[in-house]
Amino acid sequence: MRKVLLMGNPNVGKSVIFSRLTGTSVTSSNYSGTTVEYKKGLFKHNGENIELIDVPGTYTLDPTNKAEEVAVEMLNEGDLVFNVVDATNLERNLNLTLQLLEKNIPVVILLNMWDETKHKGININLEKMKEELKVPIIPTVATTGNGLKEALDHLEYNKIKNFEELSVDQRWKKIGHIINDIQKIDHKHHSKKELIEEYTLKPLTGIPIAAFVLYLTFVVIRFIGEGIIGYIAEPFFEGPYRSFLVMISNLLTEGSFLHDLFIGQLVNGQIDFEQSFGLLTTGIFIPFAAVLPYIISFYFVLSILEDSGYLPRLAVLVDNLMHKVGLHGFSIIPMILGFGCNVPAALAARNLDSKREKFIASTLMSISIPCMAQTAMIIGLVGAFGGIYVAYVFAALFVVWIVVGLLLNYFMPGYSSDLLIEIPTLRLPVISIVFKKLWMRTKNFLKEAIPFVLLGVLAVNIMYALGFFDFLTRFLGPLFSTLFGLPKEVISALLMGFLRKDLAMGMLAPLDLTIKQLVVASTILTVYFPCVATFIILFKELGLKDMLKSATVMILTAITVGTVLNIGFNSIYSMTITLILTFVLIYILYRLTGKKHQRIMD
Amino acid sequence: MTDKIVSLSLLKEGNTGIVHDFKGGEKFRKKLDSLGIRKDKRIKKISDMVLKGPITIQIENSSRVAIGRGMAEKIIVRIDN
Repeated sequence: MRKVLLMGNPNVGKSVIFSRLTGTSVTSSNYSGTTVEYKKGLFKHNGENIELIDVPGTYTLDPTNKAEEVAVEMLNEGDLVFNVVDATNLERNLNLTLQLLEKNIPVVILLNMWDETKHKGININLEKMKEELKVPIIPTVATTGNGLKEALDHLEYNKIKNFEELSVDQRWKKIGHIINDIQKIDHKHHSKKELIEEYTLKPLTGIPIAAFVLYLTFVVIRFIGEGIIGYIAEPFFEGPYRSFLVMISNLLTEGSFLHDLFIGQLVNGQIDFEQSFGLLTTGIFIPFAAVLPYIISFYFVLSILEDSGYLPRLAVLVDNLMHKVGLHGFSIIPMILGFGCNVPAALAARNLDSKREKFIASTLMSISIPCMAQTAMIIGLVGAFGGIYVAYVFAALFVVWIVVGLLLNYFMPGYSSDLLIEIPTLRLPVISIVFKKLWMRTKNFLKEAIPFVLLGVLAVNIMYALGFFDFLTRFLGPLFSTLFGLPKEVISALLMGFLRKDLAMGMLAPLDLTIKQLVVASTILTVYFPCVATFIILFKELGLKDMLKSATVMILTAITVGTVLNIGFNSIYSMTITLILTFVLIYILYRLTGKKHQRIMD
Repeated sequence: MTDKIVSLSLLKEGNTGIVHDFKGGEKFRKKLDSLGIRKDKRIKKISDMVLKGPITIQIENSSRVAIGRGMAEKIIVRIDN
């Protein structure tokens, strides 16, 4: 099978070309021995099977990071390189092209964003460019698919150029000559689009724009999520699925072991999807009817944000805040992902620069970012008493995020690296590609998270039957109820939350807790542990030692937060004092980390 | 007329300058070089985030790049009038 490598700088439309050329048979995997992820797709051309590999974006073959190292290694495995070049940014892109031409592999250039050169007043002499570089060059427009057919006609191209290997300076000189020969730029005035793009980066305009974008994001996620639940999920579960379960329930007879396992307890003689706790009832309902709709709508909005080129702008705006907790702007990506599902977020943390950043990002994300299931739980539990209480929980989580982040940054040796990213131009996402991404992500979520969710229900049901929770409740209950002011029954719900956060919600709901107790309980539930699936990823990504460290931080945080909230919520006075003390603590930590940074810099 | 030489962090928002020198090591240079930031390149400072946040520059005929404050302090630019 012919292996074609799709290579180019980041943000040149490589992934869009990849999506257009490959069908649905796309797999993403890690390059062996590394955490660098790449995509692979198969397609047929003129009866021949072609494997197209979407190599991680690279600026140079003289690697400056892990992704680039992988790109260099992959060169040895390919038969042909499709080098995607941004026609509007020729000089920098040719640096990689010339390096590729020095290697022992045939290269075909896809000169992408060809349509935009005209708007930008860039004139490229294609014939001269072909003469200088001596390889086929095909102008393409990835977003519309123009030129890709012609590119496929070059799949058999096999002439190796073996350009003389140059030093960095020599290469830039050569590029300078080539650019002089083939490119003319008519100077144009600032276009409106460029002005808007700059507004998104300046603090005075950028921060309100970011606030608006985030607000819109949450509104749209809720709208689509509720739409799917209301019009698809609930009608299905309440209709055909319920009749199916009633049939099974009658078959197994209530009270039998199998009935308890698959259907669970009947509530008033009926199956209650939220409270029956059977594998087929609650075990299927919560992940598919309550969580999946939100996951789908979250990934849909996220793909749009990603493809529009807005996310790096967000990274710039929050960089300063992220530095305080020992990260940099780019770590906003795992944080945002965490709001959907903590599993892909923990996986995204692997792209951060250092081990320290990975640890801080995954720990903070697991502690304070509620995933969609947790958010649904929080809204379900405390939302009934008024939106303000939901806001309390989220505000508490944000404070926890800052305080724990500052502490980790202060006590862990080292400091955060500086942000250095390209800011791509803003563009309209291609809707077909957004949907393809959505499909891939949803599929991965189902594959990675659902098995654990089902295993979790199974484990919980078995442990419940064995009296394990009763034992722990008796053992830890008194201590926790003093600290958190919660009745003993809540403790077993909290413990169970390790396996199933969403089930814990079902257990808390019938207990008639006061609003204060609910706020405390749902905050603890979010903070103390992520779900089993996330936990396994943390173990894989961080290793046993760091995972245990991370878990210790989580438990200590949960105990502290639960106690503080319990005391803080007692009266208006205790609330004020708690708030003041929290701000003083944040201020002191803020100064301390600042001093530490200064010390390292000197 | 003499040119003014300052670090990128001190260049005013909206002003342009020419990359003059780097105060960092080899790795630092390599990283910037791959992004198209190298000696004698003309750059324009687009934004300077509040509270010592990152600095965004537009590289002549090329892309926009956001650079953390610490790095920006190590990039020296020449302001020619």
